Amino acid sequence: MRNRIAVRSGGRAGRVLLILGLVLTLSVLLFTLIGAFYTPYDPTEMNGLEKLSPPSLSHLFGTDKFGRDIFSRVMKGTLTTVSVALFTVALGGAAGSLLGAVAGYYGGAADAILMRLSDTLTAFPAMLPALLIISLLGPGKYHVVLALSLAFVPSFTRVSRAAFAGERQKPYVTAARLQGASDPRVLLLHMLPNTRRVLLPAVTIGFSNAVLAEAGMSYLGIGVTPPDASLGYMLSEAQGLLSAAPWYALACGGVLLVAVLGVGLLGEGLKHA
Amino acid sequence: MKTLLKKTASLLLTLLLTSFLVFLAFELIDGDPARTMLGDQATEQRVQALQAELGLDKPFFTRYIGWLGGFVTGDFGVSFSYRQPVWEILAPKLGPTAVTGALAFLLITVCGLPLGLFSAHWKHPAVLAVRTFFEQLIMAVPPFVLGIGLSWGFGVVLHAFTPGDFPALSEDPLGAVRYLFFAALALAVPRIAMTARMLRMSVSGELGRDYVRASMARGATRRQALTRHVLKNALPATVAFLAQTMAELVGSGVIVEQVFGVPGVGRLLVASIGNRDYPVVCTVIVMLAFFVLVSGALADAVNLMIDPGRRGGKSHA
Amino acid sequence: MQRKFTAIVLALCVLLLTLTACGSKGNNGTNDGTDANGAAARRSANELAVGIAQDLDESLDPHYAVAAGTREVMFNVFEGLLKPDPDGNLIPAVAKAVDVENDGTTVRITLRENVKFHNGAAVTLRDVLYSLDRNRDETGGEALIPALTAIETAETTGENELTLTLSEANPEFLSYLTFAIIPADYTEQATAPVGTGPYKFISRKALDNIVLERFDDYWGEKAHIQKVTYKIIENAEGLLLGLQSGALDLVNHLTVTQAASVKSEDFEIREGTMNLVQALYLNNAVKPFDDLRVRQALCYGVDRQKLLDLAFDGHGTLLGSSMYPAFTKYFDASLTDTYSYDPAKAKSLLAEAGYPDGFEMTVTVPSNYQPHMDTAEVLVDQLGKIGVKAKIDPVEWGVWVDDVYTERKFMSTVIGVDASSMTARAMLERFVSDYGKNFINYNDPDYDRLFAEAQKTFDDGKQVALYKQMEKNLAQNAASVYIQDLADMVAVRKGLTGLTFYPVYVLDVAALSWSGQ
Repeated sequence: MRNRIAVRSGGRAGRVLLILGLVLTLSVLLFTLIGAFYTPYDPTEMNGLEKLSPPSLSHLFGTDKFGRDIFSRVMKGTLTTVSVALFTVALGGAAGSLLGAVAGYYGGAADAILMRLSDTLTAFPAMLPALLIISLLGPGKYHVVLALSLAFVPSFTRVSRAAFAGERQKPYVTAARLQGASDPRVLLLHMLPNTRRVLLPAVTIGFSNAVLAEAGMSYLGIGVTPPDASLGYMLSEAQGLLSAAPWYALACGGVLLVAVLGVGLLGEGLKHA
Repeated sequence: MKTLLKKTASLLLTLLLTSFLVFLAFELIDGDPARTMLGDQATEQRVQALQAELGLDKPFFTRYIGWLGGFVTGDFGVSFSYRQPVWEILAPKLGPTAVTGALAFLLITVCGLPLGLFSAHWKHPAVLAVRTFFEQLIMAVPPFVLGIGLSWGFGVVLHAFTPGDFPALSEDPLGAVRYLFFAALALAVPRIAMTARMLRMSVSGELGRDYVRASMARGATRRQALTRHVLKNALPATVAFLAQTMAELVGSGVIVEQVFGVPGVGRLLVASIGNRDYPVVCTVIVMLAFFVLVSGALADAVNLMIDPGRRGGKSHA
Repeated sequence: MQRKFTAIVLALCVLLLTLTACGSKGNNGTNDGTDANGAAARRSANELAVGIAQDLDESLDPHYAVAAGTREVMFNVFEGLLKPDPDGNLIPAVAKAVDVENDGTTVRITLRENVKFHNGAAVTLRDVLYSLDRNRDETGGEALIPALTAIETAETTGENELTLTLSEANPEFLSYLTFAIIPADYTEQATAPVGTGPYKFISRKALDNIVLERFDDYWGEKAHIQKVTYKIIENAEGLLLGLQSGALDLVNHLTVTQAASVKSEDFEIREGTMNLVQALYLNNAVKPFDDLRVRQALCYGVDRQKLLDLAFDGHGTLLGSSMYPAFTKYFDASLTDTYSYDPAKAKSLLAEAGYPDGFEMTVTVPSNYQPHMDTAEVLVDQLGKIGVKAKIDPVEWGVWVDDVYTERKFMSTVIGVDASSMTARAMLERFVSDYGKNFINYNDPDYDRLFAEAQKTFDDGKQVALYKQMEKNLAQNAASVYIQDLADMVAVRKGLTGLTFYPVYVLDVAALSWSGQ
């Protein structure tokens, strides 16, 4: 999307969205973080007496076909999904931003080639290169991170290149350079803070895309493999139990939705606030 | 004319590069399909015979040229899993996928664009917040989760279609289209919100520009300004976005086909990845990549026709 | 102008939505009366839709079929000289009679008249010889059916008579005459199979469906249902959805949980046995499973009764060796309790073997088989409690066949092993050390010796005793962690009658009919 224009009357609305986004995102992160250290039940503990029991006070989201507590499993699943997405964005984002920064800052032939390449690659839906890489490497948590971060590099490159190219001519950059600051110093200390307005929303979009892509791939059975339960894998399990345990699908789908929504609102708020 | 030639040449080059990269990737991972096909117990003689038969004894570039030549003439090699020509397996899968994509695209344009224009006029901050919230909410629904919901709601509860019983396109086209409509709906809904948002943002971007203000200062109403200038200027970005949408439909279509059990290209791709049926995976990926690149190029061409003065269809923004 | 534009677009939008809404509504309306979902339409057209969880083997040639799932379908297309009946007896099929003479060393086969192939040609002795030779041919290595290499000569001794002379008598020999009779020199068997069964093959769409049609020139009692479509739905959810939505009439091999979720006014759930030996099969050639103590530790570390309760609501029959109860003659129930659940003993055995802290292992499971996936999940949990960190590697069926079954590149797998013919040999030969299908690389000289002896024994009682010793050998050496013969939960649409369970892994479609048809 090539618009960077803030909606004029969106100031207050932007703040509301930002707060809402923050609240949702933080709750998902908190949920994830707690899940890393504590779950109400052992998420792998099977209980033959409580199979497919509906939500109750002792099991907030009910239990699955082996009598495992869905709430605890969703916590762990969210942890997997969120950490895959975070690593994806961190790796893909760092590599892409760096490439873009260098291209945008120096310009020239390297810039032209890089841009031509990333223009072409951005045209592909991330799913396609990710599927290609998974088909070559086989499924698994680390392969998914690798596949997705590689798939996300071009779009980050593009965004960051535009941002840095836009900043390059500004007086403060020239001033810093005249004072003898090295190129990496100018890039990291002077320019990076000023490109956050463009880069941060790109990161949030990248994060939700990564969450969706991971969930989709695990749903297809070519993403995260058990015993690493991810939200997507659990959704494919839940689909088979829709009539017997609709709460299972609702819980996984709900958490997935909230995670993506929160980050989306956050990005929107960041842009407008 | 010169631009057109240049664009065509660059498209061809990109296509060539893409196919080469994919071919190379599969070459690296599966160095010896003959051995894979025959298994460990095969004698060296049989392996060599099959290698010769498949042309694997030739150098890499010769094979790539051969494969590319085959690809262009419709000969995509032989599937490992089915020992049938890839084309015979792929051909019947194209229809359902194309129809799903086309239906989804139709839904997106017919619903997304008017919604975008319509909502561009809203100004009240509270309305804006609510609008953005719902927009983000709808955009946050993963198509496959929506698909699970739709196939349950419309399929099992309402009996509007029969999930899992996809009628063959050639035998019952109407039934097939009805079936695919629901898959298309799952694909389209989040994308409708994105399209509306995109159009609105470029329209309001244009509305804030000097020439619009100037025209309004000369007495034109907001509406008139919108029609006379803004739409025209927002169009190229929209066309480019729609091309991107077509590409995205390819990606999410893969998953949604699985949800609805549509025997399409996406399902074939996923199954072939699982079966390590590399000739099929390679063909499908290159084919989808071609589709993405060509639709992008078409968007450029359309923009060039709309406004020949504009270079490369880039918008002002 | 702009107003007009918006109006037009909005109108278009509304029109489209109404159209689509009407479309689905209208069809719903017409459907509701006659058929909620196509099921009633199939019933009135005398057709049937069966859901299966995996595509068939890449080749449909019956002599090369590997997967039980392929045999299950093609049982309706192909017949041997003899074939099994629901009670496990062999009954004449393409042969009218098979007589054993000379203390079992001469087998006289009389061909049934008027048996026709699906292509219209009559079955001749030449076709029988061709099919026989294909299965006993040893030029490419091991014969397809090694037992048939006991045939020294196969001669035509009359217009419709074939006489086989065996090198040694074998009480099980007749069970091997169930190999499919196919037309001589017909080369399209892999893609367009032709047999003599009650159904003929019509078409196959990769990953989509297989269509069979009633063969009207069938020699015996003709099938009832006109057309049978097997739909390949590789995910369990899809199968259930297909039943509920009306796309399918029959799905077998469901788990108890799945069966419970389809139980409704439309379906009847029948329970049979799957007739296979489900086990955590261990690759005996790889570390640490080359150590008897480790294998035994796993056997002690698995609470099979709890597994049955958790994953199958208690349905299923526990097993202790590679034989299931439908083989009444050979089944030794006492082996079931060779290892009772004892985690403490499991841990001490592991420590003794040099793994006091356990080890990591991979369980390769064909992901389209929900019962095996469920079993594996419970196993992983239980093994964790004795310190063994197991990980599931879900793979596609084709990959399972390649990696595990053919190339033996695996550590362990959960699968059900069935018998290709009604013989103990079919269940037990696969663990003879040099047998081509010994995918777990079991290697025990005693076992090989017992097997060789059993093949030389003509006395039925003695042979049974030898086979039972082999079963005991497998159990004591903990060749694998034997679990159960699964309960076969079959969802059958109401109105569909004639479902018969066989002691082998087949689904006899010819016996099915819609009531009122």
